[in-house]
Amino acid sequence: MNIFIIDEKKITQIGELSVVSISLKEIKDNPPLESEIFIVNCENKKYAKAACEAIRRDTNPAIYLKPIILINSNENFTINNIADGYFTIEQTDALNNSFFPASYGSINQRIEEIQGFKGVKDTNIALKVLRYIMTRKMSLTPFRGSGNRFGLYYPNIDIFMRSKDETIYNTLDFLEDQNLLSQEFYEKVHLCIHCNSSFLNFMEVCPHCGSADLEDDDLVHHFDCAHVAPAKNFKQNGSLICPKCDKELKGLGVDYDKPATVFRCNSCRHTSQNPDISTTCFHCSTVTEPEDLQKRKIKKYSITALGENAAIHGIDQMFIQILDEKIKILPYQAFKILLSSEIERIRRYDISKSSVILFQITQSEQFYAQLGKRTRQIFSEIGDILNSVLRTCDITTTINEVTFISLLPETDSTGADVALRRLKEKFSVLIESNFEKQIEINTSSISLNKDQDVESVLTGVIENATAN
Amino acid sequence: MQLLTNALDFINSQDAVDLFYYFWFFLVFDFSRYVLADTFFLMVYFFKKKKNRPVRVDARLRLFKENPLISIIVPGKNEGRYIPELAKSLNRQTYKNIETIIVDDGSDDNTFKILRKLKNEGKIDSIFRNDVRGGKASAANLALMYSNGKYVVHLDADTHLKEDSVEQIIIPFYMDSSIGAVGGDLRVKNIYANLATSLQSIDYMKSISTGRVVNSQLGILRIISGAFGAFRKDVLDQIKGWDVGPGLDGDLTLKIRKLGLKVKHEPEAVCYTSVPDSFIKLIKQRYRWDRSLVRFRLRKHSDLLSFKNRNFNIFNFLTVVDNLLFNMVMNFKWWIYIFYIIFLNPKFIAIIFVINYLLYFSTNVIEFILATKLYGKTMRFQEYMLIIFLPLMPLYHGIFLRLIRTYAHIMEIIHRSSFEDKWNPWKVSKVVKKQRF
Ligand SMILES: [Zn+2]
Ligand SMILES: [Zn+2]
Ligand SMILES: [Zn+2]
Repeated sequence: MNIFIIDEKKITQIGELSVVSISLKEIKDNPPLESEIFIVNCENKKYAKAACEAIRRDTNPAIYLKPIILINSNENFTINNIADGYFTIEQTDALNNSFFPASYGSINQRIEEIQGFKGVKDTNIALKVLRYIMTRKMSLTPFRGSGNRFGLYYPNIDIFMRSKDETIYNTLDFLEDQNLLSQEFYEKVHLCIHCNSSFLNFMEVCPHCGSADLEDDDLVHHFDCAHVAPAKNFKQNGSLICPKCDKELKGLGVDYDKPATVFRCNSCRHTSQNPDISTTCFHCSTVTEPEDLQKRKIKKYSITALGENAAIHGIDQMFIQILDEKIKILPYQAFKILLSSEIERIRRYDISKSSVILFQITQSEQFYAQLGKRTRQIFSEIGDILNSVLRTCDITTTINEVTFISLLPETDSTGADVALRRLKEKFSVLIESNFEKQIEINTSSISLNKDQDVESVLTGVIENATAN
Repeated sequence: MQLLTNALDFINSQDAVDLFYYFWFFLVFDFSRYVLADTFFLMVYFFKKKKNRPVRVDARLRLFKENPLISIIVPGKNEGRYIPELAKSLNRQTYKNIETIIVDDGSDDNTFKILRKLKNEGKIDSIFRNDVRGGKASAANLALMYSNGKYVVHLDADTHLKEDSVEQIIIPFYMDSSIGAVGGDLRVKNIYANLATSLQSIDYMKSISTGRVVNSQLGILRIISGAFGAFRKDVLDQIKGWDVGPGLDGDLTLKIRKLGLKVKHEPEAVCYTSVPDSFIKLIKQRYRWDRSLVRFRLRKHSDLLSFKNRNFNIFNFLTVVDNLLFNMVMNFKWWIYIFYIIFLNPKFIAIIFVINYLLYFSTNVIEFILATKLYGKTMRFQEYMLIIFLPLMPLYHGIFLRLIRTYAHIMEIIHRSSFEDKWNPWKVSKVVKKQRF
């Protein structure tokens, strides 16, 4: 069994367990794909956190999906939430060899189910989240904590992202919209309208002058004489004496009660029973009325059958199905065969010019975040665009759902550029009418000649992709 | 017709002394008290009003110049639905410096929601809520506690005011500094809801409007209605607000009189109020009112009747006597009269009944005309149309109300049952019943 440990001390043995020691730098530069479990030593917490981040932020499913187990941790270490298991210092001493496969083998089994991932990089955060949930057979439950502005967060997927913005929430919304995840209400949070923080101070304030310097007192109603006044008006040496009829009050519920509470403002002396509530953000000091606060539902997510399928085969397959209704998208391998025979044809006859073009939507996270429920419609429109610009003799494939590569036979570089420009124009219109934030398009083209092979053409067209 | 001819024959056949025997009740009580006295004192009122015009104009000027804050307090339970209309009429007032304080006394409907909305819209100024009902007196006292005005106007929730009513009810304070409280003139809002409300409307015109003007003239006004009454805040503070009801309005009025202050009725301060819209509800309301008479006049304020009282005042004495006489004593006398007639001359009952009816009917016509004169410009068309119900009034007033009153008086004297009234929450009644009076 291949167990790798990331620590500073180069341990090779934990109890009865033999482990391979690896440094943080190695994890980042050359992660061991054969590892079945990563053990992280928490003696240095900063180091341990960085190790976990390095693993989970990798783009290779063979790395980022692998179980992480913490040793020498303690009950309160926040990283525990993102690991697949943790052992406190005492538990670490009692570890034995047979423990790991029984508990974590199933995760590795599911990682194996994800077909064709070898060598493919999962740069799509939505896919990473989906695959993570799928391999863990877990529901994604928010944790409570002050490390996050919402006060509720998903530590085990938050770690995928470097930035602490809302991308992860938009990604979850996207996956829910696509029916890849199902949701269950967990909690509603109130957020500052200015900075989205949920750390708000709710204060009772005077409805007259807005001061928070209020004093509350119970009203006392003396049944005998119908006198009503704040309790402090009654108090005299420990017993309650009615200021109207001078009788001593016998007992609560017997001859008096407390029908309400009143608030008296120390600034303007205004008395009211219903002070206004104002909220002040602990982050940015914005003062808001509660009804103006942003509200956000925080949910608990589970993977759907459709989501399991997308986790195994990739999300792009789903979009390609939609595109397929409008334009024939060849599988990548088939495209490569056709491309190689076209290169062969050119090499043999050397009488015609053909081109390969690439068309790619950048900022794919933004793109997904804004897609939402319109995914089907927008991909259908993308299909229409490709269909209207490309000829029936052109062949198209995708390397992921936002990158399209087409082979244009009998087309020189001028013709290829015309096609790309028209694609770009039409796509810009689609973007402008459907997306709030700017989404850019990268393109590139390459003319086939007899000195090239398939790989150099594809590498070239991918690497040359720019916004121009 | 036959009966009428018989009636005339009957009158002709009797000499004056005999007629007095047959109709002494009408002649002694109703005719003298309601026809002669009312006509006379209304005439005095009209004369004084005319004479006092310049004083009144001057008082109004001083009121607007001083522009004191006036607190409008409205206690109520489950009456939220009435408040928007009331608030609207308050916001239309010619006198602007008012604060509106509404007390939700343990409502279990959407009242508080309505109040909150009105407050958020700035249509009312303060709202207070008792989670558990405390009764009308404690709700009014709660509002009083947080009133900032120089004058306090108590309003029922199911009323609304004419646009100049606030200034009209405050002006008397500026005409006479010894006035402690002013009662507004109640008019019926739901005149034509059904027969019960129409008959009550006539009753309001005669006894409430006319009656109170006359009593006010005589200085024996015994009640400032809680439905629309204005009080000097310092006076309310001095007497420490309202006491436990029922009959808390009359009780408060007497407490003010005991301070040596005058109470006035102001017919030009008009307030429209809803009256019970079924005979059953009417019976219950009257029953409550009539019982409270015995309780407060006879028990709690019996000192007003005592000549040994240091603060003895002939007007306060008369107030109580008038009230007792024309309610309680007269009521029992009426029964004596009935038995007397039956016993004296049973064969003339029908004729005597018809003659009595005609006498009372004419009284009602006269009273209605007086009321019309009193209302003057504020008289509405629908109020003129009430004339068609006048023939029913002798029966309504003479029999229907009298039966309720008799029953109420008997019950109060025998059982002290008013303490158990739904008027007060049980917690209050229980405590109050143990007290001495
Ligand atoms: Zn903020
Ligand atoms: Zn204040
Ligand atoms: Zn008391």
